[in-house]
Amino acid sequence: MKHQIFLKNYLLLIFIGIAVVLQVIILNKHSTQGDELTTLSRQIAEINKENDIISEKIASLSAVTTIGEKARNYGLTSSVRVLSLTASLPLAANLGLSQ
Amino acid sequence: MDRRLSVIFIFFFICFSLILVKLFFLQVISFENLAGLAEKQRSSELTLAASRGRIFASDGSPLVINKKTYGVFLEPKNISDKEKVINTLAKELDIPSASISSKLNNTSFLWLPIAHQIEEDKKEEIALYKLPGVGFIDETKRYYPEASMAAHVLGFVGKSSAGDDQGYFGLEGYYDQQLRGRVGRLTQEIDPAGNPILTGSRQAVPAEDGRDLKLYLDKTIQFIAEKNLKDGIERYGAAGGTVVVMDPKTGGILAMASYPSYDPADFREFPQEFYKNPAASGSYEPGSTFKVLVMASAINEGKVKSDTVMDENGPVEIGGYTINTWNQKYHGKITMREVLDYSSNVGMVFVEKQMAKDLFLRYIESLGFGQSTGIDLQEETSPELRPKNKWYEIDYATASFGQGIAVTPLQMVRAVAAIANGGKLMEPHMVKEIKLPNGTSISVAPKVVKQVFKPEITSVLTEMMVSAVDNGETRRLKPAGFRIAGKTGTAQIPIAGHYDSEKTITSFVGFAPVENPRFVMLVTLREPTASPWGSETAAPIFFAIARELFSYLGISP
Repeated sequence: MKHQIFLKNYLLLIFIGIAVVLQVIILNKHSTQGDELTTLSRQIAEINKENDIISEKIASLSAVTTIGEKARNYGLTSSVRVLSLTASLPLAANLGLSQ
Repeated sequence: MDRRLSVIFIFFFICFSLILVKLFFLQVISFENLAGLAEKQRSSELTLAASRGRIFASDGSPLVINKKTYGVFLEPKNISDKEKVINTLAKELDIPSASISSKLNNTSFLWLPIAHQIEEDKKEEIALYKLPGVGFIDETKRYYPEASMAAHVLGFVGKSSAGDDQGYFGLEGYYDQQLRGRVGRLTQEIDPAGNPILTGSRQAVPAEDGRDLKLYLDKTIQFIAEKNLKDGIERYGAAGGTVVVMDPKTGGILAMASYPSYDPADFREFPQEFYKNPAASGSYEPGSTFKVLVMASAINEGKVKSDTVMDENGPVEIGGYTINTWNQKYHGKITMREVLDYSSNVGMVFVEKQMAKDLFLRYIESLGFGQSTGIDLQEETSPELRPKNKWYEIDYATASFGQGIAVTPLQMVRAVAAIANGGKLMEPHMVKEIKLPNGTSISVAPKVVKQVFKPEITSVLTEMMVSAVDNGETRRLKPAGFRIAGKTGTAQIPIAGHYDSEKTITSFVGFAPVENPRFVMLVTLREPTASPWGSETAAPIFFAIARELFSYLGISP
């Protein structure tokens, strides 16, 4: 009986000791991971910056004014000649109100 | 022996007493001060910047976005070679070296800003010099991919009196609070290297970026409007002009162009009088374009019909004034339809006389004149209507053909849109949707202010306006095969109590296609020198834009 109680206490002590050691290891690891976070934050900022630059370039190249200028340089012109084949009815005639 | 022990005891007693006193001083007297220093050393407080909201056209393409820039600062204490820093920065930043030198000579500052909003490539060039004491801070500035397109609609971002970014004019001014967002704050424990301690204390209030705006404005229609307006102003020697294109069903503004204009990226280089949007805040007398509204009002009340006949046999005398037709031609017995075809001032006086004075004024107010339209542009204003007791006989007569009454182009196009859409006066809007940073959107629903005309009456007016285009002075200008409802306008400019004998404001208002109007448009030109007439200046611009819109919108004849 005494032997069993002694064994339980002994195991409990070992368990507590392991838990304390683990806590110290984990906390120590987390406490020193700040530089990784800083590095990651810097990388994210760098990538965001590159994305912004690319977005800017896309916006600039797809601007109507840019496309219009390029079209002119290539000799493209706007052609809006339309031929009418049929005439449509007056609007008010449909409602029987034309006079 | 006892004496030596006593001396040693007293010596150690004094030493330990001194230590106790010092500890008392550090831990009790200086406690708050030292605790504050320790807190400062192990925690950092960062302001998290919020990005200003962006503005997009109807197709989602950006009109205004944010561009990353940098501010250059100096830390005088860390500068080892002053001459090198001054000469390098003066050359790279194009700043007088005397200006940098005078700032550095002021030794009371630990941190000196030298330049703001420099581009990325310039920052990299300066960084290559690796100058101690020279640093950079992140900044942003507005970037306009379409350059100065829609400048009056967008407005610009300047600085408030407190030095913060603030929007002025247009959308930047109207939606400034929604666009600017809210800065955040991050307080966290840091290690001696400045890295955050993950298991330490951390308090974060996240930044909230500004809301993005999506407009009704169509980039291509805006481009077409600006190009043709600019060409027209040059061709007809005008001092300026506006084009407003609106969707009559929703009140959404598809395009709004005005000249002279400015570049919002360099607004300081332009006169301040260019900043206000003439389409929303510039008043003018609408002239004959107003006739369609008066005619619609009279027909709506049953006072006249499109085939009511009047005798246009000569000028009309009103209160000692003589009212003529614009070309001194009189056609005898004409219908109301022909009154618009011939743009007869005498005919319009007849129409006005069929309406009671109160009724006439009530329709002018119902059509939104004399009050702001409610458009979401900061600088919108409205010219006031004359008080009711100041309207005399001649005022009613001249108002019937659009003189003696001041309106804005926006008010005019909105009122005519009520003919195009079955009689509803719509509240005009630039913004269709507001996008929140969390991804959700708030749609701005079209708003009907009131039903002004009966739907069947608008059909009659539409046909009369089609006839005015087909049989009036612009019959040779309109694209063949298309039915366009429209009206020309030529108004004299009032100066110091009388009308200028030579200068005019010309205009053309219309909508198409009449069966299902996709757009209503108003073109105004200020003081064209090539010709004073709307049919010869504003109308050709209108039809040139309409021609391109038919092609772009896929509208068949």
